[in-house]
Amino acid sequence: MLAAYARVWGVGWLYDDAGWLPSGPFTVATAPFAAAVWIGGGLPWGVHGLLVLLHLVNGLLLWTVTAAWFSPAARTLVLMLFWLHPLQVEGVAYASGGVEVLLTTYVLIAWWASQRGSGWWVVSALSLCLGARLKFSAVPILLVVPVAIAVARRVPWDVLGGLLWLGGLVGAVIARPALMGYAHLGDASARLEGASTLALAGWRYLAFILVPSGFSIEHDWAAVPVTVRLCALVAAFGVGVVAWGVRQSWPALGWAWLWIVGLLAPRALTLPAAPPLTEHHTYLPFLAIWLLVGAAWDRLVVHVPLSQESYA
Amino acid sequence: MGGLALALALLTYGQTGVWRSERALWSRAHQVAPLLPRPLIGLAWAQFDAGDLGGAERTLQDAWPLTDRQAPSERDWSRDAIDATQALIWLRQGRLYDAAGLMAAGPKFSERWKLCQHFAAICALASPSSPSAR
Repeated sequence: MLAAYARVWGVGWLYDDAGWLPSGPFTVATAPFAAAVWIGGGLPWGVHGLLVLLHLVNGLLLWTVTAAWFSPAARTLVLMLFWLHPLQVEGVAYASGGVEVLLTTYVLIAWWASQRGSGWWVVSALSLCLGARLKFSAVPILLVVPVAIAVARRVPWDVLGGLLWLGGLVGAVIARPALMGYAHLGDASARLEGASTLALAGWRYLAFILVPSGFSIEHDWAAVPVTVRLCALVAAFGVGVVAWGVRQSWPALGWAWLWIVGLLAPRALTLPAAPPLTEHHTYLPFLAIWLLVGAAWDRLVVHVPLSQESYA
Repeated sequence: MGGLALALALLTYGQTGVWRSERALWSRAHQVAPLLPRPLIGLAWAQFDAGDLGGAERTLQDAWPLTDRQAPSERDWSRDAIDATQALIWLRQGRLYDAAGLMAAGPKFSERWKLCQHFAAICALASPSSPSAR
């Protein structure tokens, strides 16, 4: 992985980078960027080095948290795709896109900590708080998933840990004025256009996984007819329907759909002019895709009996 | 699986080359989306930073017609960015009055308006006869 990203060390400030790097302002959630700027003496290599390091750490965390679910071969496949698929390049090579990488680090730390038991729930809560403060559009799914996991696993609630977890997230939500972005839900036609374009972009980036060609910081979504974009939106919901239908036999598909839609939908639903989905915005949502591939590997290659499968 | 890892690693290594410079980044974007003005605006910026003022002007001229097919808000942003970059080129070329007219014509909080705040003394040279927004 380090060899594949060797050239990133020499990348300069590009596009939006100079707007907030290297002078900031930085928050508690973006403190790693501040540290990287300080270590690099204001030069880009510090931040790019941080992003390569975070990408490495994220892979190791992913390897750790999947130990309970996947066979070693599936875990290796997941790690390989996460580390080496070229779809991940924009998140790692583009300094401003690295916000997604840092958010993923917080989420994976929270996941890893929650797996370790009640004493680590504080770490989990703190990590999710940082993630919520870093990116408000991720807040809904970060609020929903802990509750959904606890209900799905049918485990007794560790009351103190669970309250800490939810309380920390709610605190981060309340303290975040950017929630005012949700006030723009009113314009239905704009929301529909935004959602359909978002769905189109999501399908396009999914296609990149199979055919890794055509990556770019800009894509001409407006050139695609409206009917095709609406079809993409309908297809996205269709996957959700299918996932609900197979939830007993393959719950992984449903969790993946919920994760991706939960993280991407706020972009279309909350901002006044839904910004286009760029490749680095898939870094955290498509974590579900890599995990789905691992689950499919075990299903197809290892032939794990249905009764023995267990997913969070 | 080793072969797949090697293939992905090579693809990733190749893709990181797109990020080696603004010129490479926006050239690639223009290749993928030739009808979008933003890649050309970014390319013009890269040419401007490299001192290729003539090249930057030609690139901006290529970008302008592409704004016609954009949605109104995106069109306004693109044209403002084009004019702001053109104003900076004229400043570099010593065409102060032309640059002043273009900057002064920018609406409040636009990129041209911000340039006016930065180059207030030059913006004050703007007169009704100076070039303004197209």
